[in-house]
Amino acid sequence: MPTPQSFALTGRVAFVPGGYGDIGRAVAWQLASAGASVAVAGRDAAKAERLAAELTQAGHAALGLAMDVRDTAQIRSGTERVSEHFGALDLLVNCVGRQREERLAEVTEAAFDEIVQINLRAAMFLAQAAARWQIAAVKAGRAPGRQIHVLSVRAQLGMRDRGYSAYCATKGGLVMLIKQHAVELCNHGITVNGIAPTVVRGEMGAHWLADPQVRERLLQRIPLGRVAEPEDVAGPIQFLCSDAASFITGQVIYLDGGITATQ
Amino acid sequence: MNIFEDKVAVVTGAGGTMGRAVVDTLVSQGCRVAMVDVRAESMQPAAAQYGARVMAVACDIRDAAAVESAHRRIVDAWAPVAILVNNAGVLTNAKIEATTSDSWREVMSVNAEAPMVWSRCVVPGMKAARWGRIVNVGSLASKTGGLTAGTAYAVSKGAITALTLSLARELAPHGVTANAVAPAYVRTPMVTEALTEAQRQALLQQIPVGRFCEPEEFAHVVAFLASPLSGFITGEVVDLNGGLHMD
Repeated sequence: MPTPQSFALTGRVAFVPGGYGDIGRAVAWQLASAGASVAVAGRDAAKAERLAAELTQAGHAALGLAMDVRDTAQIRSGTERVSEHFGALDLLVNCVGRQREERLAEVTEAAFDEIVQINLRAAMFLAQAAARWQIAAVKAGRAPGRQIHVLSVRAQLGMRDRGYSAYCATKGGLVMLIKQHAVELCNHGITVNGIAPTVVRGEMGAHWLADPQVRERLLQRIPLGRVAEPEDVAGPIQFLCSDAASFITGQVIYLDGGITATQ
Repeated sequence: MNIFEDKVAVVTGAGGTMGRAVVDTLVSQGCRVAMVDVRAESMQPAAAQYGARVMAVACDIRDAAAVESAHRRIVDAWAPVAILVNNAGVLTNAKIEATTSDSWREVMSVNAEAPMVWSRCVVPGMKAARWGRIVNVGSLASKTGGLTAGTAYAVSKGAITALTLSLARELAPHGVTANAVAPAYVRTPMVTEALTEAQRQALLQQIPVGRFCEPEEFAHVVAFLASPLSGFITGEVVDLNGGLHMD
């Protein structure tokens, strides 16, 4: 997809935790195609390295690394490795996310804590680790960085007849994390924003599309009449990473084919 | 770069600072841009610079018949409109007790009714093409009430938000998206240059990023919402306010 030059990311270094999932993969390719060097991280080193190899083979600068976001020490060492490898860490695109469905009466502490840890706590410490590099970079004269978190329309909408307590709560919590981080980082010119998609075609969204009746009900609720493709998410993330979006901070852009607009 | 593949765009209020920035951005990305402004002379510099890539259409958008005529002229000369940027606006800082019925009607006519009339004109062509982008220009004032802006202005921008949602809902099945940009304090003669120094300083203290929005930054958001990058976004109001308001 061609993109305006004002959205170019030439010379920027992107760190994409959760980067080999369906959304992360599209984001990695989009940012690389826009000129960024891309570090992909996740628990599975082989998957991260395989995607990095594909990007490298296509002529992009890429790095794959293992990182378990449940371990803050690994988050810190991951950002350090990215910064040392590429000489900077400009763009954090947090694509980490998990859902475990449990109805209210059956929610377990273990599952709830796991979702909080992965969807919210990890976002906090990814943001902190990246911010430390980004602030230092600004002080050294480098252009300000960007932090983008991938949320969900469930940051704003509850899910009827389903067990989404932890997922909705953590995605809603990310909205406030973004606002707070935006105001804490604004003095450095670093912006913090979110993208909130509806169902995205891929592994996490597969269960919505497998049952024809469920799929039909879902599509009827989306004014544009289709679910999001991973590339639909990647484009706006590129925009928010770019210089073109330098006056946007503390915002969440809903990317949902019109669902939230028509609730 | 030709991201827009010669698509025809209409930009209202094209002779103003923000409109000109949008024209520059869309032309640079491959659009043919019909510039609409009531002040013909305000469009001359862009017309001279871009030649056949632009068309200057002098039009008083308060007059629905004039809008319909201008729209026909654009379509006859080029092609159906693919991108509509409802940028034209008038700003009054009059608060409720100073708001006259005449000024209310004037503001609502330019800021709210004209975008509806332009949308009504372009929608059939967009539906036929099964592709279209409507980008409206809202304002932070619609969410906060006017900080410095007046009552009529804030209400007119509230109408823009509702128009955007209605268009998004109605047009999504036809492949047409409708979104809005809600800027705050773009550095223009109409907005920031009209503030008192005390107002400027107070606002700069309030805006977390510590500066006003550049017209080019506004234009980039418009271009993003008009571009293929934003194909799954509709009914959104993108806040462009340097962190001044987060909801």
